[in-house]
Amino acid sequence: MRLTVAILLIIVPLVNFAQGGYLGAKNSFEIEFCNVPSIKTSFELNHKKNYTKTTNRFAYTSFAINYSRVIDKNVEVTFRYRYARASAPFFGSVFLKTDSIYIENEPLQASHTKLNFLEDPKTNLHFYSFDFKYFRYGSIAPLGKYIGLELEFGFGKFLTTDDIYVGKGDVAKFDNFLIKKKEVIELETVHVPNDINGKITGVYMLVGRTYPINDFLLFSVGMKFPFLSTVVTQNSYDLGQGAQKASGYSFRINSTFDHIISGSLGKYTRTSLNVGLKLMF
Amino acid sequence: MRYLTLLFILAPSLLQGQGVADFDRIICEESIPSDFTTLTTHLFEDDYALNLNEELDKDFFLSTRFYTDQLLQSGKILFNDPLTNYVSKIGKHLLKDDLALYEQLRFYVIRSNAVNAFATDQGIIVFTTGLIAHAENEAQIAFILGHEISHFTEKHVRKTYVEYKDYAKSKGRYRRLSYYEAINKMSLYNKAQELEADEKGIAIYLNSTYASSEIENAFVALHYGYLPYEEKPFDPVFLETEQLNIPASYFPDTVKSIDQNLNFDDHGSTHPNMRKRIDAANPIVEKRSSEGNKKFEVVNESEFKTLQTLARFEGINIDLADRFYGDALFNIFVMSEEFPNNRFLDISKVKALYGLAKYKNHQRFDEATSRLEKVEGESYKLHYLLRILNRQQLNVITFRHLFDLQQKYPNDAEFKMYYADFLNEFALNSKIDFDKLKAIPLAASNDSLLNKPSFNLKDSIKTIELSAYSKVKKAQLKKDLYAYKKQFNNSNPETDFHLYGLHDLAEDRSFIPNLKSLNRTLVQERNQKDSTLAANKKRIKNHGYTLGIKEVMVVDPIYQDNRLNKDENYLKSEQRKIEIAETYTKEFKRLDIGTQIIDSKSLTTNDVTKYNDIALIKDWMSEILDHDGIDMISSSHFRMKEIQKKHKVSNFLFTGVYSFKDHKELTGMRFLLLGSIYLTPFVLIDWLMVHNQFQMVSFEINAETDEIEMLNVQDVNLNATPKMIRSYMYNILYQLNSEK
Repeated sequence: MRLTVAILLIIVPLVNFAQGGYLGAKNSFEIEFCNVPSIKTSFELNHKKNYTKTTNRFAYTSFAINYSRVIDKNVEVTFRYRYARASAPFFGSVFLKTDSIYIENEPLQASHTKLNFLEDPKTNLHFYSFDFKYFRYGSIAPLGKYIGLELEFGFGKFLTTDDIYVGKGDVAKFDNFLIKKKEVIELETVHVPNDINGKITGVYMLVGRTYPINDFLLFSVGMKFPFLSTVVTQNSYDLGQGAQKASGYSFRINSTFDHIISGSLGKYTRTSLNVGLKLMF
Repeated sequence: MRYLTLLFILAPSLLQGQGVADFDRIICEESIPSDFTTLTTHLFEDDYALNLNEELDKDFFLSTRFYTDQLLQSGKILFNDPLTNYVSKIGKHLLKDDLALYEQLRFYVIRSNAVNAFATDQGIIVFTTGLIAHAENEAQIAFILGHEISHFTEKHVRKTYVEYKDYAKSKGRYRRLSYYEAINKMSLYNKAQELEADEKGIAIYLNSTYASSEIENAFVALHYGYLPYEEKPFDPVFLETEQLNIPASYFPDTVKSIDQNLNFDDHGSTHPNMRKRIDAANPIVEKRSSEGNKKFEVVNESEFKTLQTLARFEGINIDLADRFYGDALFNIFVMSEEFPNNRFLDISKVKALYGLAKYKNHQRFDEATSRLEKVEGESYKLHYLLRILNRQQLNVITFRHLFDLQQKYPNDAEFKMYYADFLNEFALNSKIDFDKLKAIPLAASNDSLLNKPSFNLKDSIKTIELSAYSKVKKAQLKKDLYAYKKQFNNSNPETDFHLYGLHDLAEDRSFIPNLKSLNRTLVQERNQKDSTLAANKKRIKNHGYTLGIKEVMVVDPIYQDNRLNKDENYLKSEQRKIEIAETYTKEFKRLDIGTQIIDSKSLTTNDVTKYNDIALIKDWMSEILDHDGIDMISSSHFRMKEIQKKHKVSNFLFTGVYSFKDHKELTGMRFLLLGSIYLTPFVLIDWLMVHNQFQMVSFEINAETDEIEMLNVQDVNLNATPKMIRSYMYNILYQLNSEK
């Protein structure tokens, strides 16, 4: 894949089919903010005051740097690197604590306790994409209205492998509409495994438009709709065997974190509203 | 004496281009009047602020001010030229007792062959060149001027607007009327205003010493404005030369009579018919005691004739630009008796014949000639001839005259240019079998036909058969015999008169081989051009034009902004037009092309040359667009050379942006998508929101070749902001600038 991207990066700037671009500028760097509208909850544990603060936000925001090249009158291709620091499991994520119950002459039994995350297991998400935009309704690339296709490869890993806190909170007390606090009534630490990662491959449909600001800058607004995508996490390959071989405890821990990784990748690749600033050159 | 000497020295330069002997085109002089230089938005704001008549709304001031603006910026209006000065002087003479009223009025002349005049509510009175060309004397012009002044003093434009509002909304007098009843009532209202203007105009007219009898004659002159300048029997000699004679059978025995009915049906018209106007005017004239009997007051008859000649010459220019070549030719014939060796008439004759032949060769002759059913009077003879001449005959007549006239003016590049171009046309498209061109005159041919040998073909063949010649020789002899017989059988001086028309040239043994050789070369070039055309079309469609132009002049860019209800947003249009003109003049750094702009909105008082240039370029452009598809030289080609030289540019770019707003229709597909869950909000928003769109039309004409090199029409679903237009303009310039 890296080789493909490298080859494309070399070839595309050389491609030119007699088109003008924006006032003669065919290349651009773009800073883009991609926002997936959703209700997101972030957890933060305050040890001193013994409460956990949950904050509601309304978008999963990622940051992208693009290089684009106009290759024909109506066509622009873009290479994008997108980064997101996912700071939360998604709403409703629970950690299942499993304890072994030993009773003499009885088979080993397990007891499961649902514990909530009291602070965020932070993840780093990296996305590399290649998109193809076709400017239509009389628009001339890279100005005006477009539709496009994007092929994206994403990769996610936990940012820190330190222990994080899980536990149980009391009834929530609201500070305001966005923030609520819960007093911690049960506290445990869980080790974040360092070998868990996830990958996502997706095809997306793009719709958007760009507006001229001056002779060098364009403002872009667009929407990205997922079309096809598949998420692969490390342990999901051996889900069946793992269930038989591994102990319930280790399997369940790993699957929870797998779930967080795959969920984060999934969240950041949903329908998004993208705004950006393009520097043409 | 000193002044007389000075006048003597300056006279030629003052009359240059505006005199009869060296006429080319009427141009404006001195400083530009404020009507042309004041921003119409300011004019509207001032006039609207002073509006005390509550019946007049904002729309009235907007539409009238901007309509007048469009007219003034069209380049067709003349000011400070001999004709306008003359009309203005007549106006001053008529209003010598009311100079305050005279000060409120501005007089202009418009380049048009229509016989008409009109007045605006702002006091602008416009006469057509056609009216001055057709008027028999100054008194007739004075009466029509009085009529137009009365329209202004009686505020007819304003009153008509108020009336029209009621008519359009079926209010007031128009309530509960059927469609036809309402039209009829509106028509009667307009006619009443015309009769009132006639009445008041007569009062103004009779205050002077002009002859009252000329009032009726003025109505008659107006009515017969569709006829040529004079009813003079057409003399075939005009199209004949020493070498070329056109048989009498090509001309009709009688001409179509002129319709004498002045009492024509005026139902639904805004003007009463002439009979009604004359009948209404006569009692008024009779009531008023007038001692006037003069036909000329401001200038004498001779000066009037000179001014009228200028108007008539300009009329020929207009006919040539509008491709009424038949009408132009007849008017040239009418004028050439008085001015037999006038260069302007000669070059106009060249242009008219050249145009006719070109349009005939490209099967578009109907566009360049009048339909015979519409022609009346003496010009019928010429129009009839033009209709029945076939392609070959018309080509020979044209070639003959172009050749002769370029010989007559050996040092004149314009004659040479038309001849050189037509020589190619003659060789390539005349469809003449050059071998058939005779080297003897038609008269000599008639003699030879009279001496036609009579022999029996069968007997002659029998004689050959019985001879002792070889088989090959016999076959050759029989072939010659058949050809000899065929020559006499087929030769008809009536239909083949044109084949003798170039006999003096055909005498030169190299003439016909040269024509044939030229034909071969041109056919080869054409085939080559055709084969690359298909490939070019595909390349242009995919990647645009690649013309390699280094300097271009953007001519008076148009911007029109329309509201959702399709009405033009005049104020925004003017504002945007100025803004966009500024964006064109900014440098496009990534292009190796220089842009100049010539813009009617930026005119200042001293820009009269610029105004004349814009007027000429617009006329030239309009003609080239009409010729589209025919590779020919326009009638203004030579005049454009001056502009090219002055601005050092040969490529002229015309752009128009038409911005409008629209709602998307609820089509079947949208209706279906509305039912879907995910797309419903998007479809709903898309359907409900107002969509901005614009159309950008651009074309570039090369003044060296009179060829439209680029035509680009772009429909864009975006808001036409100046920045957006600039980027689209870049795309146009990029295509002009880039090379293959």
